[in-house]
Amino acid sequence: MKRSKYRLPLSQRIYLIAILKGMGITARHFFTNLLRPGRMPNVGYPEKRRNYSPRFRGLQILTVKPNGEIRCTACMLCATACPADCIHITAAEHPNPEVEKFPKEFNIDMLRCVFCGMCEEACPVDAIRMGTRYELANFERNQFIYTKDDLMRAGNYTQSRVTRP
Amino acid sequence: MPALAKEKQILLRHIDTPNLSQISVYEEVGGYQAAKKAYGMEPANIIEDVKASGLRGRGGAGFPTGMKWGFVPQNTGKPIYLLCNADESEPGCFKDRVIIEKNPHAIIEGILIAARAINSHKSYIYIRGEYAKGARILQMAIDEAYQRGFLGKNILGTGFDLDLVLHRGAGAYICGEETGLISSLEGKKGQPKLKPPFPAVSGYLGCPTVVNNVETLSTLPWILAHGGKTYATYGTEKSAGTRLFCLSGWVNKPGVYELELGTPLRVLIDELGGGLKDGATLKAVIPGGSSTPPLTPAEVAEATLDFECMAKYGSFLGAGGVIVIPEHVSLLKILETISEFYWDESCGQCTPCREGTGWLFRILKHLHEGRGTSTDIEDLKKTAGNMMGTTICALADAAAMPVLGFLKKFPDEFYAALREREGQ
Amino acid sequence: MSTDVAVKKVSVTIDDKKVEVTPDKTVFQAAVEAGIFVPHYCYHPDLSIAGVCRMCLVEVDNAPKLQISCNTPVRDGMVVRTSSDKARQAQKGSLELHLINHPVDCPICDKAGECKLQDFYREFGLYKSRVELEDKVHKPKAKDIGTIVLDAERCILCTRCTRFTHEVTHTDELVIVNRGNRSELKTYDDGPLRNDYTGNLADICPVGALTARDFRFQQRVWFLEKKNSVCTMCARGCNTTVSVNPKTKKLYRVEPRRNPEVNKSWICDTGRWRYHYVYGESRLRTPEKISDGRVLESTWHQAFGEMKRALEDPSGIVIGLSTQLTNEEILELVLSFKESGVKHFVRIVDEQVIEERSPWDGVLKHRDHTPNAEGFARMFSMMNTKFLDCAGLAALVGEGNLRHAWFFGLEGEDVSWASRFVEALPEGVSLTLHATSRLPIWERAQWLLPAASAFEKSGTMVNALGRLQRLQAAIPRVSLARDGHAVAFGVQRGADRDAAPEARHVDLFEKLIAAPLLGREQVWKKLDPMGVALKERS
Repeated sequence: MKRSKYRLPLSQRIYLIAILKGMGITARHFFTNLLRPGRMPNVGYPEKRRNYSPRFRGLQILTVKPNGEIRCTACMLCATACPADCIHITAAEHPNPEVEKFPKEFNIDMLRCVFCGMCEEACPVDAIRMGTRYELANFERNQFIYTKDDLMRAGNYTQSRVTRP
Repeated sequence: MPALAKEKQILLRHIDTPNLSQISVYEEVGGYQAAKKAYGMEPANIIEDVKASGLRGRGGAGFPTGMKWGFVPQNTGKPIYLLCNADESEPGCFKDRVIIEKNPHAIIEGILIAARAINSHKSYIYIRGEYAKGARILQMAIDEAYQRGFLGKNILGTGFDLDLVLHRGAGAYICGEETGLISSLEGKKGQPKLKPPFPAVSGYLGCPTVVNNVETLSTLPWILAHGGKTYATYGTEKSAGTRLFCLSGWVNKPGVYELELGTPLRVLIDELGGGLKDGATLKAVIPGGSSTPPLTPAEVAEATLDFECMAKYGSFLGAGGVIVIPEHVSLLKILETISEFYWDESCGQCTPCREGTGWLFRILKHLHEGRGTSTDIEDLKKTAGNMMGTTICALADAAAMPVLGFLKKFPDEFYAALREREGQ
Repeated sequence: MSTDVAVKKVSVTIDDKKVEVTPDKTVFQAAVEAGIFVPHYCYHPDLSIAGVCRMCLVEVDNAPKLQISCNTPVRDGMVVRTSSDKARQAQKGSLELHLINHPVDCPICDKAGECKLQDFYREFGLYKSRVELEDKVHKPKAKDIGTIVLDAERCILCTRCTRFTHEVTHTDELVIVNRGNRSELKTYDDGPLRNDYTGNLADICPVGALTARDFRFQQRVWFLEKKNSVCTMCARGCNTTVSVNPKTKKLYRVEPRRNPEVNKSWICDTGRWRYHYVYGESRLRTPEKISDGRVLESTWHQAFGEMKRALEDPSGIVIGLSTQLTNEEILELVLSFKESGVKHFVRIVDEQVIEERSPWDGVLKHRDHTPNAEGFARMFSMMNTKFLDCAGLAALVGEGNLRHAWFFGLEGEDVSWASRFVEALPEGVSLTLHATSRLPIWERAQWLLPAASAFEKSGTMVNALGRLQRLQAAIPRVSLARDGHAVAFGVQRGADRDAAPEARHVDLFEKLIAAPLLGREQVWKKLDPMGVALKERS
């Protein structure tokens, strides 16, 4: 087997130079952040929060009609479309014959939800929308099942669901 | 061909004789002689005679009467029924009414002859509910005929039994359709039946049945008396004989006129009808009742009243209801009225007619009210096209054809209605 | 049906496919035989021809006018095209006319997923609607007519339901009033339906105009899976499909399966809606021992142990078998107990009905509410064993040696005919009941063992017409319920340590039942889903 005649030049054989180059990059970042903190890509959460676009997919909201009743007609298209199988609906007869069908129960298991937005796309009557709330951490597993009332109020941020043990 | 002189007329010759509806008067002018002759003939010969006459059904379809009679099977063991269709409901037609009210015995005599020909011993006259006066007169005539032995058991001493019952309808256009009539007579909803099986094979109560129009039956006495070949000398080759035409609309002398088939339409409108009222200009003529497509003035000038010529112009002779439309009448309104009629009268059994007539009416109503949209004309054409040829009976065709006819021959008026709205 | 004289068949070409049919058939039926689907609404194989929907329009022999295939008789050499441009255009036009006044109810309509309007729209339609919503004709909405909800606005007036109440039940309750597009479906007196077959109306309605109140809003049909089985509420044995949600494994509805020899396309309301006992309050879920008037929850282990001990003196035991058990269960229980020395077997059935000359109701129902009386007799004759009736049981009691009575396989909440057998037992006899439901007539029992219902077990049964039909389990056993096979297995061992073998019925059927009943070998899986007619019992 022939041996390669090529040899690295001295400047590259001396490892120290490579080390210094690397440290230079680190130093450059260090001083940039030190002297011009506004250019850091970090967001100082929780004091500052990122601004998300209006299309951001967070916790679902169940919309209401002008008379305050839920708009959803329990057609179950969202439950069918959901890839995570996290929506569970029980339909019931509505006392108003013009409405006829409405959901008695509408539960979303947020531990399963992947926030894909398929439910919002599937809904034919614009009854479910992906809202903007994403701070959903909790201590109890059963607190992650959001019921119909929770989802109807989900637009209201001041409601906190955290229950400390 | 000029207008037919009174002496040469077949159906209306004696119509002005006072009290013609009484049997004694009717017999004086020669009534019931043809029936007596028919009962001395073999049924097959009667059918041959009628076939030779070229008589075609006068109810609207124009089917050769002799041929229709020939379809009746004689060996089924079931009774054969003869039904007289007096449910004249086509808008623009009022000819049967004249015969019913003024000359009812002609119908009875015609029934006698037809019953002999097809070997029927039970016959019904189905008269439209609105003809209350006609029903009274006809019932009196039937009672007289029974008294004189022309109906009932052993009529004319021939050993032939014939019962005739008058049945009144209740105000549905669809009962003028032969299977609709049969359904109504059976006591069911007057909804047409599927064909096959055809009424000649399985009609009223599943028995062989022949349905003939009043005018057709009233022509039979003359044919039997003078011979079928003589009848064929009247009219044209394919449209033999004479028929009654109902002239209405914007003319000076509307009414029922008897003309030879093949007479130019101008003769009817100008000579007999006295031309348009107040010197108005002609815009369109509907030649055969509301279900037939209209004729343009140019076509009216050339048209003759027979089956072939009407077919040439894309229309039909129909039931002879000639409606004259002047320049100042909106075709939109006319078509809307016609469509409303069919929407109201559709029996609702099959989907294309039930939904289509409603949709056509809706669109035309919008157009007339100035609410039309740009796709409306296309929608009308498409819907009417979808209705034609796809239904159980011809009511859907009858509703669709005027729409297509008006749109084809008078598109400007309809498009103008659209443009008006879009311009607003 | 074949006759002695061979009927000359005619040859018809449909969509370039040649098919031979008898001359009394219509083009539609010929297309069905050729495997070609023609869209339709008003045609139904078990009702008369109406020809009102005008969807099955096809081109026949180059004629300019399209014909409806359901009413056009075949002719030798006929050429038919069902999917040519002209035919498809007509079908699409007819579909559009069906939809112009149809309400947009899909989200709230139960028929979604099995609605023929939806299906045909997807296959043949896909056009944009040209009608404004406010222009649509409005009719009365959801009206309760007993077991069915009638929504007149959704009705497409196909007249299947009016023909059904006229031709099948002869009750003529449904009528169409008014004419034109004001036509409306309603009951003739605006009152409820009054016949035993109302559930079939929801099946035959192609849209959501007639829906079952029992199933209203319960499930979306695409969540359900169907399994073939047989009804066990009477001796007709109507073929069924059972709809189960595979995720929750819960049963949601029972529908008839078409079998021209048994039930055509129909099933009675009892067979359709009585399944609720499976999940009802009265369902037995654990073995219960009753002593000194107190009910104690117990275990199968204890039950088996006691029964095994009692078997040490088999002459004092009488085994009662309900005619609701499958053939395999009967076989296994009898053979197993005979091996242990038991001699007395009683048939628990409605004895009055068994002797009736014409126990049918004129449509479907048989007055014997048990499905397998015929199979019971055949199994016992096959095993050369005699069984006692109620009088025989009383005589046996009279002899005075009876200590235990064990009755197996009592199913459902309506087993009143079994009370005679229970009452025939005197105080000193200990009664063990293997039943699905806890009922007041069981108050006398000492042991209540939960039985698997007909939806939870598999096996074969023979109906009153002598037809061998196959039952298939659709749902897992509810709680601790067990079928006859598991009970026989446990009693033999006297303990509940080992699991009973699964699919025991397959083994029993293939090895012991198929040959004597059918006269040939038969693999369980391949048994005809329409059943097999057996020869008359000699």
